[in-house]
Amino acid sequence: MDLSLTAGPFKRPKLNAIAAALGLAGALSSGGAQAEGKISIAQQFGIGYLILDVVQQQKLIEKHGKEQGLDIKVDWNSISGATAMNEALLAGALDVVSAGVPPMLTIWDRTKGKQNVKAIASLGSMPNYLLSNKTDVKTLNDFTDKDRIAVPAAGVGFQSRTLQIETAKLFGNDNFKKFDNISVSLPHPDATSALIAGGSEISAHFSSPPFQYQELENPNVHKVLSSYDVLGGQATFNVLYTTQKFHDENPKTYKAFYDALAEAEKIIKADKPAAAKTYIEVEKSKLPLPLVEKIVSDPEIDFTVVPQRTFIYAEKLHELGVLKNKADSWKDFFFEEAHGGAGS
Amino acid sequence: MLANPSVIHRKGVGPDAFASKPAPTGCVDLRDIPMSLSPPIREEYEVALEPFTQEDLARDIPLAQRIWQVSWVRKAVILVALAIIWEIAARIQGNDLLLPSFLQTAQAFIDGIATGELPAKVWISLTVLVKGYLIGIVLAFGLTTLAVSTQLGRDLLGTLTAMFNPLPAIALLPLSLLWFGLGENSLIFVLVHSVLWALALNTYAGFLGVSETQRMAGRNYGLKGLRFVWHILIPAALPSILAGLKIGWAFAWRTLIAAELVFGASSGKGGLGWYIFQNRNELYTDKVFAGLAAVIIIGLLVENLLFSNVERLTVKRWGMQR
Repeated sequence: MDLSLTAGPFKRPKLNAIAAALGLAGALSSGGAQAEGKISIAQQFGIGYLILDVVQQQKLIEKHGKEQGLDIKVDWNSISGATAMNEALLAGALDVVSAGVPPMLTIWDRTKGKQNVKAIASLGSMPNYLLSNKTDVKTLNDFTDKDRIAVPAAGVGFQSRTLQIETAKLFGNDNFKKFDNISVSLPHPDATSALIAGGSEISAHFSSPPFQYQELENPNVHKVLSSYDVLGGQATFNVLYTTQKFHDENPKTYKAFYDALAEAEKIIKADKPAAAKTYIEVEKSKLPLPLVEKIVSDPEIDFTVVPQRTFIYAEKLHELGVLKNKADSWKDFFFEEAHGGAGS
Repeated sequence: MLANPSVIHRKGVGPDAFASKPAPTGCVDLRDIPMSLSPPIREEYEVALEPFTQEDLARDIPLAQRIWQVSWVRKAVILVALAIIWEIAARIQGNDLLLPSFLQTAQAFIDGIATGELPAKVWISLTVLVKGYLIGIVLAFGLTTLAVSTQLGRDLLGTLTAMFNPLPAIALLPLSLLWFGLGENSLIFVLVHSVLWALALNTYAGFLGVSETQRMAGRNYGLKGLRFVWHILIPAALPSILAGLKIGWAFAWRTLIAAELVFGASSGKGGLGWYIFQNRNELYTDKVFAGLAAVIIIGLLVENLLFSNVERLTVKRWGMQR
């Protein structure tokens, strides 16, 4: 028996041993420095991740890696929810994660001066609709204490933050959490079926593509608010982000990844029906192809890596006290590779 | 010797007298031994006691040792040591997003108390918890009373506890949400479930353990039904019932925090679990730790103030428990 093998676990640095003894191993073990040529990416579900679906299916990262003479091993993961994403990123389990703009800003704010998490690129601009199945709810003012608004992550997600910004506009900055009290956390699929079926307390749903289009097909469901109304036009929904460490230690891998994203954008724009097919194939979606095609070619939706109106979130959320650090421009929370485009 | 004063002791007779005889070779003729055996007489003498010079038995323990023997001092030292290890580990780690230091957590806790956020959340959690707990207790006593008085009740309790006790309360949450909607009622339902079976099982075991003497004493007084349970069974089985109440309390507390973590706010006014969950979402790890600390402190308070006093006034006073 090889003794060095059995002795292996005991040769770890002292801190690790202490940490393990305290049961903190999980919290403390930060992923070691990764050599170039490896990237692990996590995406969530939904049409908002179409760019990543195309990158994955066409193996664009591997392709751009080879152009630089580098073999890149790509590891794709699916994780639901920004909280899990952030934790995986901080723990070093993943290199690149994706979530809405507000959760990215939260982690940027908390890690500023430490891990320095920043965004890599946008995954596209698309509206999120606040929908209701109650005919007398036409604006935010019509919500009462009896209503319940379903959101994926009450209080902190993209939808809740957007609602908070609109609430602050209508009812003053001090009342920005007014609708948090009637928000409930429900995953999009559950909220969609609750809103369409009716009869439960859920009378509204701050939805996302593609769910919102499914819901709007029901005659009882109508739109109350769009995230585009709140932000004043086309705005980024999801972003990819990573730590300063990964960005600095893997310049080639990072560049290959960024180029792959840019190419995926071109591929989608060149042939939208093909992109719709890619989505159904990669995500194993049960949505009918015509609906997906309609969403992909919707003029409101733009699959672009250029960030749009992300600074509004940074500004407003700082004003509301959610973010402690003030950003001077959107470039503060994006890595320099993204600075070239006409972002905002 | 004094026990038998009638024996006459003479010098030269007794075991000493045989010593002068030649050592017997071969077998001993028993007839050689004189028939009247009596032990030799020893001269009596008196030993004068030395004056008592031994030191006082009760010694003064050094101050340090005396302090060390106070139990809360030892516990406090353990806590302080843990806090110091925590602080050092956090400083070495140097990342307050993953492990905030003890001081940061204490700061977050004090801030939470000062702004009134933490007490408000604790209050929300406790009101829901107490409602569920009390309903659970009432139901548990109903079931066990039925079980000790009727055969069908016994089978009912046995079957129900066997079925539902192993079922985690949190697993019933989705069902409960369907039946009672997104609100306090569904939380109370899972709380009742978590308290009821543990308490019923303990209480019933306690009732079965009540001695026949006590039961007969009760019957002698003509106690029957509820009065028999109240005056005889409950006092006699109180140690088991208290253990059941403690277990039920811990189960209920755990279930509530877990339920709040899983389905979040019941109508937006979430309690302590929700506070922990939201702060985790917002990456305020120090506040997450402060929330956990609040859970621990409440647990300690309930154990040390409520249950230990009840025990002191009842089972310990009655000499049923050490």
